[in-house]
Amino acid sequence: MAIRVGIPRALLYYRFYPLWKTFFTELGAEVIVSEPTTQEIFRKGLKKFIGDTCLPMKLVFGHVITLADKVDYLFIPRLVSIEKDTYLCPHFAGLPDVLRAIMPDLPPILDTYFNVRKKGVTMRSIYEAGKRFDKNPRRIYLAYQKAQEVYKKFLERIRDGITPQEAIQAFDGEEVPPVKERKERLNIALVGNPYTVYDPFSSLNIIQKLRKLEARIYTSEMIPDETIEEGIRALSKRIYWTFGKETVGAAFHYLDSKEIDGLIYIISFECGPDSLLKEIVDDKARKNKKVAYMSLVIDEHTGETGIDTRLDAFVEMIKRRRRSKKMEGEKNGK
Amino acid sequence: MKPTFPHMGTIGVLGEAILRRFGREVILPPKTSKRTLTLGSRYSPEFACLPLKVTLGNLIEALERGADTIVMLAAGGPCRFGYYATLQNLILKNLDYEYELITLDYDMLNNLRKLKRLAQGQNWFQIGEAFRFGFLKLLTLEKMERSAHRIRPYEIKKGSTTKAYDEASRIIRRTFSFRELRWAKREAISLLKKIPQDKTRNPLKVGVVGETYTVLEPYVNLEVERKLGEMGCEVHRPVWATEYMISMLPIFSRWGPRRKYRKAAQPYLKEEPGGECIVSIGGTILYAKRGFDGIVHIAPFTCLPEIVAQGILSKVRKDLGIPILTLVLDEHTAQAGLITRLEAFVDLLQRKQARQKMKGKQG
Repeated sequence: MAIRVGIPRALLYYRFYPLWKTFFTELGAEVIVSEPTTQEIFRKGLKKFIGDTCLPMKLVFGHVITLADKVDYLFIPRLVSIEKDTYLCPHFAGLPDVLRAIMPDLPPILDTYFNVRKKGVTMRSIYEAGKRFDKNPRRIYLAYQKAQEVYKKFLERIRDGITPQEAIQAFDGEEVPPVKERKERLNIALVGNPYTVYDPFSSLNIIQKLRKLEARIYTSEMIPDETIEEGIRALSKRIYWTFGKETVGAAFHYLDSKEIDGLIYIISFECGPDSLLKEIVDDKARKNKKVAYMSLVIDEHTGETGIDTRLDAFVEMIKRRRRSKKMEGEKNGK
Repeated sequence: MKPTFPHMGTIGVLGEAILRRFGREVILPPKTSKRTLTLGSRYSPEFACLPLKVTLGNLIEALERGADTIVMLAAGGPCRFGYYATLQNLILKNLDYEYELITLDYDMLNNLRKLKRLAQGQNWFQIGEAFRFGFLKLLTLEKMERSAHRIRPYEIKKGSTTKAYDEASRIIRRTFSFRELRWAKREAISLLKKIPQDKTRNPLKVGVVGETYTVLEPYVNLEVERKLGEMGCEVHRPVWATEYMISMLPIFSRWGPRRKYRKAAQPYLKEEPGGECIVSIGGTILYAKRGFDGIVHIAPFTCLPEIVAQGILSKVRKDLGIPILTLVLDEHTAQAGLITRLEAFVDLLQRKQARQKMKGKQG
């Protein structure tokens, strides 16, 4: 029987799932993903967690608990950085250790160490991740290359204008309606940490809600890396958190570009990097009168109706702005 | 140019000494107070960590006093500290303050250039001497603090150690040359020696670990160490300003004073998540092995590295059987609540000690 590897549907699942899945299936393992987040999964995690932390971290605990008795290995890499010259938030580096400390009876954790800050992805960490399934380094490397190819295609699909969540669905073989068929009249950019924005539980399904309000959604994954770097060039110190950089870079890019009517910044309460970066985005948005801006701070106590009301108001405001602009234009025309 | 920098426990002494030897008129922010905290939290992002709010308050008060240059450290991530300078700069500029910002970070060559500018044309030897003096002064001060922690549980009159230490630190802070410092040291030591002590007591041993800023800054941690001392505990801590400064230098990042903590924490935490996480865990383990009675772990609310530490410390507590009290501090932490928690904790430790003694007698 194939070895079963569990991947919790949380955190970097929303960024790397296609890569991880292809890699492990290529090596002959069976990949099991936890169910989409529910209230119950969240409660399970909350019971175990010690101290207070952000919502996404609490969710991982729940996902890990539900996976624990279904798999032989849990894949929770020790991620210090996933990109050159940047870090992830400190929680990621300590996560496997914290999980093991709090829940000693978990299945073995594959805590491959990734630190690509200086050298890039090393052959050693790839081998480390794959050695339980196949001892042959060449086959492991080939599996990695295949995974990379699939991952690149996945990223390209996102650039075409679908959200990462939908791209993952498409990767799993589900039907995703093409972008062009939708009736969308507003353009709204949605930025924030991927694991907060794309988890329907933690973001209270904000993407579907915006779609219902006839908005087309733009995310930070849809713009190329160079544009993001371009966006944050004005800052005196380079942002050293990967997702922080993407969020602020994308926000700055969208605020400057003319294609966007509104910008929404989603933050989970107690998120360290975002608590500082919000101030920077707020500042820039305040000086930009053309784009409507709203930041939503979300945690497990956020009520759905509250969010609905705020979104309705936000969209209504954008529509009204458009109307008044049109009227002004007509006046000037006369 | 009138430079200033935010307070951080005793580290201010180092900065002041160096800049004074450079011939600068240093404007220190007034002692951290209620007003500092209010000002800081009014203008900071609402759920930023506490040190950011307090240091912002410090800077505003210093600018009000006429400072025109801010000197800040800005190490690189993943802890939020590395981004303080940038963010505070943004906030202060939006408040229309006029000043120049000098940040010292990992780019050593650039740092030296900035130092040369601050030093008003002094040569490298003089700059080196300024640093040597600053470090010596800070070390002397820390030595006094260490002995104050040791003496406090034995004092006969409550508060006499704190009084003597305050006097001693005032004497040391006044000095700005090597010779003055030598004299001041002697005077300070004799002051501490004069405290009447009752050596028959058998105090509890408590380790205070946690995030550097909150451990070092007495106003922010509501003087936890003094309170513990006066409740009859001998306080030890792994976090000291000098060690912190040394471990900030890239050459010492691997071999510096943190090495022993890293080694001790190895079975629990394989990779360093930044901040003082590794020191909190390693320090707790080392103290537990030395037979300490309890550990107080201090962290500011939402501190990223310390939340990781808190999770892992729960396992350490089970494995090594040492009681740990975690205090999460923010601007709303109140004296009375903290005292009650500390008293309960010390009470628990005392009972445990008494029980062990009984067992020993019976055995």
